[in-house]
Amino acid sequence: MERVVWWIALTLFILSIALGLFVLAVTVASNPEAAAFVLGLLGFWLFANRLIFGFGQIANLASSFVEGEEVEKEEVAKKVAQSPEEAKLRGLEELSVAALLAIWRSSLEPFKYAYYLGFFLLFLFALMFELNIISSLVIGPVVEALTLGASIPTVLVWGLELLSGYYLSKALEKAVKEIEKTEGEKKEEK
Amino acid sequence: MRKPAAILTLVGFVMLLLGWAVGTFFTERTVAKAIATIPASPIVLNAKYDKEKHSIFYSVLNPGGTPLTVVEESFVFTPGSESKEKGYVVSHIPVHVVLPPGVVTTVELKLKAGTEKLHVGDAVLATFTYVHPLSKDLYSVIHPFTMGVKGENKKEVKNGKEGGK
Repeated sequence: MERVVWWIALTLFILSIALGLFVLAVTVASNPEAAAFVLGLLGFWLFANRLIFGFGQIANLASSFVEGEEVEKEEVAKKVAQSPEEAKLRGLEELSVAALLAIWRSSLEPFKYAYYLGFFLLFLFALMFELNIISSLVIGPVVEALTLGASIPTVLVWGLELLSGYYLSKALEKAVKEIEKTEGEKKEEK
Repeated sequence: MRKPAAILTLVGFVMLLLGWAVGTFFTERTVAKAIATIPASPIVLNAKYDKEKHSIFYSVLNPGGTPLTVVEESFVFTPGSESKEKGYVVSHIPVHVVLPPGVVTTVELKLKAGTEKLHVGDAVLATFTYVHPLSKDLYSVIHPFTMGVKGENKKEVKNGKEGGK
């Protein structure tokens, strides 16, 4: 039964991709800008996906940590280490949730850098057409549409990065306070 | 550190600007495409007589977005007081001059071979017949030219130039 559902899902997925490609191929002749816009949006989203969901999850988990909700440490450790063995070897279980989230966020840094670089290069290319440094009646609008499509996931990445930075710093503050509290209690006990 | 409300306002504002840019871009492209399909009527900016070739050169601007093709020329020659030549009419000279959109093109009108060179006061009333790709109809532009006189005709041409631009 599960297999049948899986095959149906796969067929639907392939069909939807084929339909999308067909629609793109049909519109590309009469409306190349629209096709370029969709391609820019989807293509850059593909690269931004990891960043969007990574930063989004970090912001979510950090805010729930700040509000005092239970955050499963193993789930966060999975995002940082490739396997539970690696997590054990690196001693990730001993770290607090906030520290794990900070490690996760800094592991996204190279992806963010590469993504912004790609967007910047495309933006520069579009700017050259816009300022008539190079000009082409055919390619110019297409590159511009591509950049406009690409800027949507870029703004999302940027916004989620800011949000995750804010919540993470709050979470770190809270974690430090908790550590100081427990250390103070220990001293009192002694 | 910025508060989440401030961050969301900032991102929302940037998203609004981005949406505006996308909307403007696509509107502009649609309008540009629509305008590019409208054929315009050519404007004769200037006419000059070339004595050696015995022909008149017209600078013709196509202000529209579709290319136009001049397929036929005809003209009426009216002699001035200084000329000994009699008046004559030449019609249906087949030519093929493409006027690309937004560009000034030179169109040559050859006067009748063996006739006298133009003198001051001689008038040539030229008719250019042109077609555009959207229909099979023939359209025409009639341009009066008077040799050497900076009179009414020339002024009209100049006005046309200013109006055309």
